[in-house]
Amino acid sequence: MHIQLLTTTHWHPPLGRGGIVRLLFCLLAMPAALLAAPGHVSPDLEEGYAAVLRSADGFPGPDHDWRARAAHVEKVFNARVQPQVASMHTLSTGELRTLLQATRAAAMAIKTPRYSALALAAGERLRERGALLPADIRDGAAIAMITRDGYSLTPSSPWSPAFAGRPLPRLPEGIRPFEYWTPLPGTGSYGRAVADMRSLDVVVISHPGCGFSRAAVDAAKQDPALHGLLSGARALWISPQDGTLDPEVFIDWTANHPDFPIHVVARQSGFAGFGYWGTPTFYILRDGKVTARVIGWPRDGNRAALLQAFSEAGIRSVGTP
Amino acid sequence: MVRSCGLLHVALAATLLLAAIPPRADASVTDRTAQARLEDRRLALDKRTALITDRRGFEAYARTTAGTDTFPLHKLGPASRIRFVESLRFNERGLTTFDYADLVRELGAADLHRVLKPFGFQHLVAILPDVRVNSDEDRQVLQALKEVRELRCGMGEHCNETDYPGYKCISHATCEDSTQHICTSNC
Repeated sequence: MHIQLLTTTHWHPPLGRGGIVRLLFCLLAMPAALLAAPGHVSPDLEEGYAAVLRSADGFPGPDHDWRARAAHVEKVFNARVQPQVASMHTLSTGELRTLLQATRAAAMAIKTPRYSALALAAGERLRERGALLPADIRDGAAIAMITRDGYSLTPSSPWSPAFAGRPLPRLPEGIRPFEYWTPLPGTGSYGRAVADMRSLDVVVISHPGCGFSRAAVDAAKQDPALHGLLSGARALWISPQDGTLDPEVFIDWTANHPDFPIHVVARQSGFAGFGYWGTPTFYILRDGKVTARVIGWPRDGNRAALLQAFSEAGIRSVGTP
Repeated sequence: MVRSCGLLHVALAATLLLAAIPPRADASVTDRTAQARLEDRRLALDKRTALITDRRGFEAYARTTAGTDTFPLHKLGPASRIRFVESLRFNERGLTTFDYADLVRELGAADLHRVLKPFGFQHLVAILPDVRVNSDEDRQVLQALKEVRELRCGMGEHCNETDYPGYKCISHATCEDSTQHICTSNC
């Protein structure tokens, strides 16, 4: 529309001297008008965002370790998106939003707090311009949760409305290897624990929102052998390092499935040997090391594969609960 | 594959039947369970009778409806449209995953419904977070879908859905975290 207004205002053939000056003004003004347009996004940034998405897609689990994907996405982000960040104050609203989305895609793959700091800077600028959309707020909050960046989740943070009046998460610091958390009701706080891997037979990557994880639990409840193997002190159910904003989903889950409580992983990088964090994934352990993994819970279940993996690891069900 | 299937009429009839049984606050548990089952069956029919179940079907449908309000992809910006199209994944059951980041930013609830309907996933309008309401039509669409959704809600953010926002279908029956994607029950 800006271009159309400029051309209809200034284009009056035939051209005299004044007309040429006006035409020159018009030609010079067009790029500036484009840059100033709130929705304008430079091709470099659009292509950078697309490259980040492609790089994440190019390393799909379970065939690739999530760390390999993280390294690749980081390289692409640094080459294609990071150069745009140096001049953040000159970015249009559309560009800030695209930067936020590219940062979200990178944070999801890489999961380090660097991306949360970057997102916060973009979010604060969007807020200053009155251009922060609910979807932007949710993205920013999810980035903070994924990267475990509690510093970005203060009452004055642009992301705080994403928690809809619930207590803001108080994420533990100084995370240790094999650490996992348990959300405490109504507080935003988390209980902390470190998994004793040598005492575990199985770690199940799962999430209360995952229908396939729910199907696995429903099957285990009906099957004494599975129940014995997948519950109790020798089984640990943990969620991936994701952007879940409402810890109540874990609390509700545990209340409804007390034999299969799902905890929250502190950092995926703290779990050596766990390369795929799709849900559900069953990691079978022996002497603290992963010996096998069984992925997914299709409509007809995965009982046979699971029992075989346990059997090969020398683990037998303790029988009925 | 674009299906022209008699089941479409069954799906339509089931939708109308369900609409005729509005959820009531005072409905007994038995009533609500029956309504929830009916809603589950309707969702299954929506998926079984989807017009778009693979990429070729998508391309054919998008070509046929280009520039119309039947399938308003033209309302997305060019880059957003490309991102959405590139994010679509299918298996033998139909749509398994897509990126909704641009859809919820650029479309209102009614247009989002129009975009997702040919895939058989229009009910996701009530599940995707931060759907925009720009008009009375948007408000009506969202309200109707949210009322129906309450039938199958148990608790919390995910409401016991079989479709899984914030995750992406990776391979059969397994989803990986991917904010702004959804891992559908077709996965």
